[in-house]
Amino acid sequence: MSSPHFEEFLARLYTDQALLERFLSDPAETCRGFGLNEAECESMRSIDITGLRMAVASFNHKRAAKSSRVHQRPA
Amino acid sequence: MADAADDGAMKDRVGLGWRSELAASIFSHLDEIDILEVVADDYFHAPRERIRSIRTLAAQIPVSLHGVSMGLASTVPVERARLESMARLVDAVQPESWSEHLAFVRGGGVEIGHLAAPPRTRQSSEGAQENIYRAQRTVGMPSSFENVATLIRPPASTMDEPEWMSAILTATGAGLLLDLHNLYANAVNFGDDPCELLLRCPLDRVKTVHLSGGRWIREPAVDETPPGRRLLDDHLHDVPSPVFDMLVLLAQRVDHPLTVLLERDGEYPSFDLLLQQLTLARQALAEGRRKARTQTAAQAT
Repeated sequence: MSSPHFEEFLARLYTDQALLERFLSDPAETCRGFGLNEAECESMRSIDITGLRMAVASFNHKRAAKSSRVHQRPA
Repeated sequence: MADAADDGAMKDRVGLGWRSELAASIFSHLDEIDILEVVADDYFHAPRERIRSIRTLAAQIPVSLHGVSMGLASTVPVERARLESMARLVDAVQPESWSEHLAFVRGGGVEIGHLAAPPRTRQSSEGAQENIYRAQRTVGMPSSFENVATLIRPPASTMDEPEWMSAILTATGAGLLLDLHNLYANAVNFGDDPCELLLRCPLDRVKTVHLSGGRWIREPAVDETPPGRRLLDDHLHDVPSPVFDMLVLLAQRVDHPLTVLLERDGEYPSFDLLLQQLTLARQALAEGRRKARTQTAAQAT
């Protein structure tokens, strides 16, 4: 499944440390609280947590590099 | 133009990404470079003189424009202003082609800041198809779309990477800009065989190939289990040999010309070393073409 609201959830999960911490401690409640439907909440139960932490760290690094005007071009 | 990758009628080409840090060296070695790829977003808001300089470049050597921020792989329609920026630049520079990524870069107004792999689903595939149609209508001229690397197995996915890409590219008829290091990283990070993954991709759609490098990073420790590692595509390292092996295989399997571009975004080695990587790419293409000819000859006897 994909929807604009689900994409917004992922974008926020990848960029908002507080939301990420809430999700890691209680994924189901965080997904419901964001207004995801049951199927979307269920799909997030099997998320690759290790990859999530690594991807978030990588995205943070990229955003910091961009804001300091260091050219880090994408893949 | 360099001709080391020419193989009879098969006019493969090899070039690299245009970076201002490399400009002087590129101009000194234009006879060894077949094509340059310019990051389009760097010029969307550039003064007229800078755009003119790229147009002048495009008059000397084939140039392709490469976009990085459209966010086409989304259920949300791509913003018209982003397409118009590319269209204006294409009109001003007159490149031979342009490209973008099959990536998700924002949601609900939140910029992720980099290229993320979207959930690989029927919905995101259909969203990407619609966005590609919009982009092609607005920008025009030949275009191709690139697979991205991901450190996270894309959440909520119901399709794997080759299935998802095939669905999009078959429906739209668009070209595939196949980033072999991205594909390699995704394979090794998620337990797939890189060559098997490659052979499941829509190889008939491949027009252009990206080569780059990356580095291994440790997974965060979760419990007593020793952490593993994943490959980060960072464009700061040399192209690893398994990626050249994938290029050999690709050249063996496709029967149309390929354009191969080396991407390097920093920690630049000497330009001679970058040229050596281009030579390795030409050799890989030639080896793949040779293998294909041998195979065809064996089948004919």
